[in-house]
Amino acid sequence: MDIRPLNRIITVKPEPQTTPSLAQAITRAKACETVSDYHFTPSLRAHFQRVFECIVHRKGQGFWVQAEYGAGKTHFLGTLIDLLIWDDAAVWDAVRDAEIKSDYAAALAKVKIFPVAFSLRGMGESSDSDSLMRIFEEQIGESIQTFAPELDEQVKVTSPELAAHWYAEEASDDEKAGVANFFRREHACTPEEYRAQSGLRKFGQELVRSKLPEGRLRGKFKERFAFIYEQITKVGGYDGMLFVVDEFRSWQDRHVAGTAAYAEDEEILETLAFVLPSQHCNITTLIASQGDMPQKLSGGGEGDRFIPLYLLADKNKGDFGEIVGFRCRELSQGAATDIKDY
Amino acid sequence: MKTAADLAALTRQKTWDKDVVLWVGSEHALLHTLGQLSYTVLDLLDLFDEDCLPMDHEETQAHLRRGLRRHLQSLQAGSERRTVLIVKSIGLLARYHAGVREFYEWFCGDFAMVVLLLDGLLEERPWPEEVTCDTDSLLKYFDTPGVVKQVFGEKG
Repeated sequence: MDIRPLNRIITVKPEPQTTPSLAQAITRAKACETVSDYHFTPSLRAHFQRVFECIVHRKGQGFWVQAEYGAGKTHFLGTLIDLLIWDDAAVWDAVRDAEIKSDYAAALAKVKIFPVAFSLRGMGESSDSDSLMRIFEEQIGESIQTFAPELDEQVKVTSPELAAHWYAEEASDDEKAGVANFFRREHACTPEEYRAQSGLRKFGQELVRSKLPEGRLRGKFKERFAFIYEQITKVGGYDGMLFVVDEFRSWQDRHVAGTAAYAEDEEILETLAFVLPSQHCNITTLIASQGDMPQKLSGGGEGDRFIPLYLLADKNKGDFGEIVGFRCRELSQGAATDIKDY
Repeated sequence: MKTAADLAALTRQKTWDKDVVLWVGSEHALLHTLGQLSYTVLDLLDLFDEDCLPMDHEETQAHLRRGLRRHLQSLQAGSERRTVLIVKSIGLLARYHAGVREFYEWFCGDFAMVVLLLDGLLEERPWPEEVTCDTDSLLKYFDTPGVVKQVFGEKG
């Protein structure tokens, strides 16, 4: 029996990029490529369905995406985010899985989600600035500039911004008199003169330094995130927020259990994935890590704080070969029979 | 700290894996180690306009990150053109807490790696009595887990 030569059964695809960057994968320019390169195996499809179900039903939830090095965490996150944030049809047209497309393209088109997605790789600091809250604040600011620049002036995220907002909108006459006294003593000018000279950000920083707005800056994680959520959903008309953190392992390695930094990380993640969703904030959080989920976040039987999504683990390890095949070669028409002959 | 030979071995790999590394030593020795590999140099000071410098710490940090991102996005690397980016004046990244995230996000990949050049650490300088020079602080900053992947040194 004659068998067809291999080069007539398969065509080798261009060498795939094996180290994707989340920031690049979720740009509008790269979204279609990211999505069309993604191969949905049954287990991966189930993970997408689990996340999409929560989003379609506007039910906030945390997910812990765990996998070994090279299992495709970043590509998983990038594809998921692209399908949630880009409303042009081309992105959904690029999906190579008919079931995902038919079940969710229309349903998700009705949901407007504000994304905050970033990788922690390279964000280490040896100083006090190594704070997850500070990074979340910075990244929310960056996301506003990238995805909703029209909200930049309206949404207050950091303490100085909240302090300036407090002075303009909430402070009583007596509190304003205290502020005037502080600026006269420290800068020999009125608050308004200082703001005109130095800008709103510096003005806010000085207010924070004065300690006068203390207690009004929503200093607790829950208050701060709730306030940000309220502003973004109300002013921006969003149905919810999506927080995605990639490469969390590098952060876990620096913050060992028992330290203050570890406790801060746990509290922030619990606030986003459990506390706020249980108070009807539609916040979906995905944390991707090679490492295990901190025990406190696993729920301990009281309800799931983070639902674990294991990529290509245990019985699904064989998916890896299927994905490599998909990324590396194209099958010609009738290839299945020829492959059987081989 | 790994040796120049270790760095040479890394550069010979077929593909890289989001490699942002630190080189402690002279530029001359680094170029010698890279051999025939294609490279490009970025001096972070060139991201600033001397006539229009940012006002304060935060503005400088934002300017540095923005300028760096724009520059990295403009660089081309691919399977046809493996490239090493050598970065100079890296003290600015530490001084303004700008970190190295932009390199991971916008440049590094299978065919592109970054070498941060930390030059002059090994020189003995006659500082005035009232000045203390902490020669380890930059090394500590970049060698924190999660910042650079590996540290290589001219002197091993």
